[in-house]
Amino acid sequence: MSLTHAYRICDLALASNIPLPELTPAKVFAVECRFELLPPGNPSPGNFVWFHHWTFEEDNEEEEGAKKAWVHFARTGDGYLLRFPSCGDFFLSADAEKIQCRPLPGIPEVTVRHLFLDQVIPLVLSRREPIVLHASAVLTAHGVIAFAGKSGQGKSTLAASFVQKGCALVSDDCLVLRAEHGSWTALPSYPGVRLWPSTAEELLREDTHTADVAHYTIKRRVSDTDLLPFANSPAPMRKLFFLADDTSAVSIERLSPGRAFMALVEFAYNLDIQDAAFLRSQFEAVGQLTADVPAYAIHYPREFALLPAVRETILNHLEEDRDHDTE
Amino acid sequence: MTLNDNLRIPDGVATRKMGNETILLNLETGTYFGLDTVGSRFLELLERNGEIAVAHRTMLEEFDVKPEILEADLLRLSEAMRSKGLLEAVS
Repeated sequence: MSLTHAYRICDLALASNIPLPELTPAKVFAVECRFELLPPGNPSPGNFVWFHHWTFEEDNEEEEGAKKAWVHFARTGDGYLLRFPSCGDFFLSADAEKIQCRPLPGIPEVTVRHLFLDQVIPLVLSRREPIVLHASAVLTAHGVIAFAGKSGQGKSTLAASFVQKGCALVSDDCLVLRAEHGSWTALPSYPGVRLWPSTAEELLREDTHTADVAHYTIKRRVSDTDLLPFANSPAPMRKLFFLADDTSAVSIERLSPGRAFMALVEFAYNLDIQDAAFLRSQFEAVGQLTADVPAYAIHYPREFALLPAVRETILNHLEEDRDHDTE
Repeated sequence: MTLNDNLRIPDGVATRKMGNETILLNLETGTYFGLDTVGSRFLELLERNGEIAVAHRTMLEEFDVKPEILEADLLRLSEAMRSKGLLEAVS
């Protein structure tokens, strides 16, 4: 396997046999994860132990069993299989250091890259770091703030809005947090955000270059770091915001430790939910994060015209807390 | 389940107290469960003694609640937690 392309994502040194133009090439001296795109083919036959699946979040079926699966998780003899029924298979070694993808015939490479970077890599990272959140994050003058929420709730829009006004992007939807010396640090993911066309039109210049995300979505990838600056180094984690209801006014509500814990668990990636040892370490880490980093629910109107007011409310909230901390 | 039952937290359940709340995790099933102030106090008393009746008597002194309402609430909570493998009966 010729892995001629090297990158770094969330502090993970990655080598690939195909270019990953979404990432910034890096000099890597010790590869920690290897990705190989295999020739297309039909789903791999085999006796796999299916143990979990994700469903489409927009599926309105009430019965869990009736919901359509987005990805199935299985154990293989020497690792894991993530099967995206309409796209292909990703095979992961048990230590998640080796990943191979066999796409279904006709699946474009851009789709493979999207699934790899935005679905598989967060799960790979979850084997190495106890806290990997489905969250966007930006670096403000007061540290990193994160926005966690379900798909479509506005994480990327909020992050892009902050970045346009002087903050740096830390993550679009995979945020790795690491405990270091009694505090928490956010690790930068990779440059760029994925936005609905209407959001891109609203927030960005008309001539902004955007790229396809995947063949099955109209979302656009915006990777111009002149337009959306990227934080190139880890930074202190300051506050967590969980996106709540679409309301007429902006309000921020501090979450109790218990509510914050359960919210964090809901948005934490976990490759193997049956790995008791990992579950315990994640449980302890989430508990510590809850104790160390304040968490809030933010209710706000989902209207582009009101984004500046939402930003202002959040920044004022940070400023007030900073003043409080220094009293 | 009745007040005369004894309960314990089984091996394979992790717990974490955070202020007045408690989170439990069944490590075998991956099920999380959150307890508010009252639920946390109930669990704390069960961990000391195990007897639902003792917890019931103690909590009647600590909370402004009618005995029959507290009994129903504690039994309902006990059953909910037992069904998720977070509590088990002790003979």
